[in-house]
Amino acid sequence: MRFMLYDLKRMFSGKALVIMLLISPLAVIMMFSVIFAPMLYTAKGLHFKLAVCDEDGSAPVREFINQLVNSQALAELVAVYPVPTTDLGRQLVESNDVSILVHIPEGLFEDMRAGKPVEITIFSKSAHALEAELITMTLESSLYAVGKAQNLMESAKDFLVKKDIASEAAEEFLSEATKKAISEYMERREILGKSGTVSPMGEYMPVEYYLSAVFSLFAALAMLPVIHYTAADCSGAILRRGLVCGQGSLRFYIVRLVSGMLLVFLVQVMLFPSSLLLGAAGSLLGGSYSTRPAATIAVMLLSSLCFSSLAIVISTWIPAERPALWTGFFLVLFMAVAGGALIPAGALPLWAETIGKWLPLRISMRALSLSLFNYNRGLFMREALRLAAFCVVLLPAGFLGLHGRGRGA
Amino acid sequence: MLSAEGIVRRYGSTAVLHGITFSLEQGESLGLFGPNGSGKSTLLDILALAARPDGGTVRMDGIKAGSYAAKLRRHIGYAPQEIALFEELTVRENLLCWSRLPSREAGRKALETASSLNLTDLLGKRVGALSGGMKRRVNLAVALLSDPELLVLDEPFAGVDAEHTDCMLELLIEKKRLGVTQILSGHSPEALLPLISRVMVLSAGRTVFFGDTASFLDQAEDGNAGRALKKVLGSAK
Repeated sequence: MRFMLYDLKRMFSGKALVIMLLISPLAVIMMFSVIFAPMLYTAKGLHFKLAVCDEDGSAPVREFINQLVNSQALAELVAVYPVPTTDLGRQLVESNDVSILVHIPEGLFEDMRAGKPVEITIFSKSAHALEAELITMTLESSLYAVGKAQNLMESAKDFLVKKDIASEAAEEFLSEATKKAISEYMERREILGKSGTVSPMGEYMPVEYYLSAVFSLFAALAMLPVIHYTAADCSGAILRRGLVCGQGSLRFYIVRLVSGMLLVFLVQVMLFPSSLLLGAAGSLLGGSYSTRPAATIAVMLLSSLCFSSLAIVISTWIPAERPALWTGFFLVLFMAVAGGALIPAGALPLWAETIGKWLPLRISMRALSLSLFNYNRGLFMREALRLAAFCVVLLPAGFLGLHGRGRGA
Repeated sequence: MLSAEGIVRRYGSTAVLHGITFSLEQGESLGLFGPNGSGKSTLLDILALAARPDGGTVRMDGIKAGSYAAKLRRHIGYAPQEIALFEELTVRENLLCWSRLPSREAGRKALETASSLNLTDLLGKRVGALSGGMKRRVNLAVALLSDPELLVLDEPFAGVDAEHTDCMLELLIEKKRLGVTQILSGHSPEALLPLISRVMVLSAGRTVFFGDTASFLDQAEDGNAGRALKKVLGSAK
C-alpha cells in the first residue's frame, strides 16, 4: 500500500502534468459551454417560431421558404410562418407570437445572380437574442453556400447555351437544379442521420461524437506519463532494487497499473458531471438524451484500465525510454486520426476507417458517446466488451513484458 | 554463508561471465575488482538475486536460490551501481518506500539509517535535487534498511567526497564486525582495503584472482594495492 501511495505521488509530482490534468477538462468545459452547448440546445431543446416576409417572390426563394416551412429536419428546431408584410411580422414579434422576423428584400435572388451583395434583415426582441444570433449565423452560411451553388449552376447553364442547347431548356435545367440543391441542403439531417445536430454555423455537427472524442483523446494522451515512468524504471536499476526490496514484478506491475488507471481516470473524470448536466439539461429543455451515468463510469474505468495496460505494454516491450515515448505518442496520433477523434470517421479513407474501428480510442469514444447521449444496452455492451477484450490481451502482455525485463536485468 | 558455483551469464550469444566459482564465510568482506566490462556488475546482480544466471547456482546458507529467491532476498541489501531511487520523492519517502518494515517501524529505521550516514539534514529534500555523492549515500542507506545479512554494494563510494567516504567506510566496518557478509566492487582497491578480507579480480568475465587480501598485496613487490591489481590483470592477458 505504501509503495502504491508513493508511486501515485511520483505520478502526480510533475507540475506540468497536474496542470494539464486540471486545465484540459476545464478547457473542454469551456468548449462545451461556449460552442457545443448552444448546438445541443439548438438541436434538442430550443424550439422557436420564425416569421418570414418574402418580398423577393422569386421561384428559388419561394422554394427555399417552402422547404423551411415543410422541413421534417427543422420541425423540432423551428416553426416557420410566412407573412405578407413586414409590419405584420413586426407585430408578431412585438406580441411574442414569433421570436424572429426574417425580411427578404425585393430583388434578392436577381442580385445574387448578378453577383451583387445581398442583405437579409432580421428583427427580434432582446429576449430572443440567442435565436436571432443562431438564425443570423445560419443564414450567413446558407447564403454563402447557396450563392456558391448558384454561381456553379449559372456557369453550367451558360455552358449549355454555348453548346447550342435551347435557352428555355437551359433555364429549366437551372430552375430544376436550384430546386434540387435547395432540397438537398435543407434535408442534410436525413442524409447524416437523425442524431446529427444543427450547429450555429449552419452545418451538421455530431457534437455527441466530439465531446467523447476530446475526452478519449486526452485519456489516450495520459498514457505518455505512464510510459515515461514505467520505461525509466525498467531501463534503470529500479526494477532490480524492487526485486531485492520485495517489490517483485507482480506487485510492481499492479501498482503501476493502478497508478496509470487513476491518472487516465482523472483525465476523464469531468465526463461524469457532464453526463449529469446533459441529463438535467435534456429534461429541462425538453431534450431526449438517454444518459446513463453508471455506464459512463463503467466505460471510464474500462478505458482507464485499457490505456494504462497499453502504456505498460509499450514501455516494457520497447527496450529504451525515448523510443517507447515516441512509439506511444505516434500510436496516440494514429489512433486519433484513424479512430476519428481528429477527423470525422466519415471523412477518412476506407482503410483507415476500417482499422480505426478496432482501435481502443475509437471504441472508447463510441462507448462514451453511447453512455452520454444515446444509451442502448446492446450497442453499449458490444463496445464495452471490445474494450474488455483489449484489456484481456494487454494485461498479460504488460505483465510478461515487465517480468521479462526483471529477469533480463 | 554464500557460495557461487559455475556462474554463467550471456547477453544474446555473448557470454559475459564464464563459470565464476567462489564461496564466502559469514562476516567476510569481498572486494571485487576489474576493468570496465569485466562482468563485475552482472555478477553482483546475480549474487544479490536481482538477476538470474544462465548457468550455475548461488547458495545462501546452503539454500539454493531459484524457487527460494524471494525468501532469500529478505536477507540481502543491494545498492546497484546506478542510483536506484525515485528522483521525484524526498529522501525520507525513498527510505520508507523501499522499506519492507511496517509503517511505524519503517519510519524509525529510516531515521536511524539516515543518521548513521549523516543524511538527517537531507531527509526532506527531493532526491532529484541532490548531488551525485549525496544520492550515492541514500542509495547505500536503502540497502541497509532491512538489517541484511549479506550486503552487495556496486561501487558504493563513486562520486562521494573523502569525508563521507570515511563515514560510510566506518559504518561498513561496523557492519562487518556485527557479522554482515559484504561484497563490494570498485576500480581502485586502496579505498576498500580497510574493509575487505578477500579479493576477487575479474577480467573478461573470468576469475583471474581469488584469495585473501594479504596474498593479493603480495602480487606487488612493494605491497601497493593498485600495482598488485595491475600485475594480476597484466598476467591474465
